[in-house]
Amino acid sequence: MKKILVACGTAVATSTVVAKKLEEALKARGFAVSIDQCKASEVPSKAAAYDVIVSTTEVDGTAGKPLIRTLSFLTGIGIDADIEKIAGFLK
Amino acid sequence: MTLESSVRYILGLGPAVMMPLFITLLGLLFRQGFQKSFRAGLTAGAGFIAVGLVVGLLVNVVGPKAMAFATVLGLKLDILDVGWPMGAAVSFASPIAAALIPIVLGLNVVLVVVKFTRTIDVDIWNYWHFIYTGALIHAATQSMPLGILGACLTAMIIFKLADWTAPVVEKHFGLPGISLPHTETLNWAPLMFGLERIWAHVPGLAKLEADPKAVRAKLGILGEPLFMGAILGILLGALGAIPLWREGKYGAWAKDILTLSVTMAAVLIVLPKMVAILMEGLIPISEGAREYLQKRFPGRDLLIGLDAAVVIGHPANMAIALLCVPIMLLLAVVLPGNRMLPFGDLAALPFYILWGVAAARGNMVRGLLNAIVVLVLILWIGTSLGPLTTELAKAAGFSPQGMGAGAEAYTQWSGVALGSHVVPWMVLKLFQPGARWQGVLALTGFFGVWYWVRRSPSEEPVKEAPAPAEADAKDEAAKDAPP
Repeated sequence: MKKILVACGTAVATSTVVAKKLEEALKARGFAVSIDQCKASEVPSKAAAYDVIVSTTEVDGTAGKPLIRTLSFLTGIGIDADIEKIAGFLK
Repeated sequence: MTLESSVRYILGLGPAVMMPLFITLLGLLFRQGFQKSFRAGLTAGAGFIAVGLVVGLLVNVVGPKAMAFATVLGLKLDILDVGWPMGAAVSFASPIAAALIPIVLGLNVVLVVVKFTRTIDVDIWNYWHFIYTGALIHAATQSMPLGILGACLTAMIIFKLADWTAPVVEKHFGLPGISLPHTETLNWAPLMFGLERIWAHVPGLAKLEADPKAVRAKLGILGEPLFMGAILGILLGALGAIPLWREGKYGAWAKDILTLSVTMAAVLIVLPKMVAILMEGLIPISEGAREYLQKRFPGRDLLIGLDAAVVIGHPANMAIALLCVPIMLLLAVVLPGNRMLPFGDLAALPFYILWGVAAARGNMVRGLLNAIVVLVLILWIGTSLGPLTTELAKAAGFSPQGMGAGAEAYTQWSGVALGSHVVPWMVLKLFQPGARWQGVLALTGFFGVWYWVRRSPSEEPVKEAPAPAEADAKDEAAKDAPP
């Protein structure tokens, strides 16, 4: 089971949208993932326990874990490319 | 059963029942199918119940215990900042919410068609700012149409501000094609650009700069709600429990402090998670609305309006927000006219100061000065919105009354996020009987400043220190020169 951390400004609004869509999309591609949400300010201290970090805003350090910064889940433009990119890190 | 009594019965069912109903209906309106819509509605209702559980903690433990320090110090701080998650929950629970989501969306479509705005606001979640505006006016005037009118007026101003600041979002934050019609942050922009004009005349100020990395390395932990709550709990608890210390009950004194510390940490991490459940219930509506809006205007040069959450991670912004935590607490104690104790939104300060830092183009020193002005105004506006916000919270079933011990110290709810609703506050005043002149005066000032700085967001960003002297000189020369 791969672990993904989704960060945004509040850990409430945009990250919920990203987390839910990502979960659906990755499930459809056959990945078993567990997704958690956090605030951007919490990423540096939490990142170590995850495989991939996805964020809608700038984050300050991810403990060496791959970071995908994306707005596509919110704007609807380029979602598939971003999902492919994230899936690539999970293989 | 007459029509009137059935309407009253339905409204009397309470938000936990009403929300599933209206979200299911909205979901159907946006063609999301019954099953998906109903699941979303039920999720939002569950989220609302979940928020209610945490309110118990706020009301019974955090409120009275945290506010006790004010009594001990002889301060008049009787309004608790319950945080934006509660503001959102209370707004979505108000009877005006169901009407306002489709109305503001429809208004947005019309305004894009007539080319009043280029922003399509797909950030349905933050429609709560407009709903809060409408709910406030509804509570103040008892008139639903006035509430809707006020919310629409606010939305129009915000869409315009979003268009106006889009160049900054593109150049400073690096997000082309995006605007941020996020009321509680964006409505500070004109004032902040105005302050920048003033700072430009202060000798030497333009050359000052500090390193955001250094601040974050030292204070970064304060940005994590868990630690912020714990530290705040110890500070407020130690002061509030002074009577126990005086009585020589040291064991009880320490227990009080530690309990408050862990409880405040708990509220700050649990409440957002509960509100996230409510948010999950809004996703299908948000999706449906986005598809609806984007399908209407293919190929037009438009801006997609998003939550300001997508830019708050900017390093200078996060660093200044950390510095603002102790400053805001100090201001709350010393600022004349303030009655609000900041708590729930201290971890969300990066939002409210966002345009102060953006107007300074990330300069730490001027950004901090701008942010302090924002904090002062937030405390005053938050205090002023206390009574009406408390009324809305009571209507939603989150009553800050009947709290037992310590209750006399704290009687109202408000929030830093709510105090950040400058445009809604001005529009409310405009509609509030007896306060109209304040609204007229404030709005005149607001539009005056906006007109004064109308070209600021499109100007090339001033380079990071120590280079800006030249740009500033040019700016001044342009202003002083006769036309």
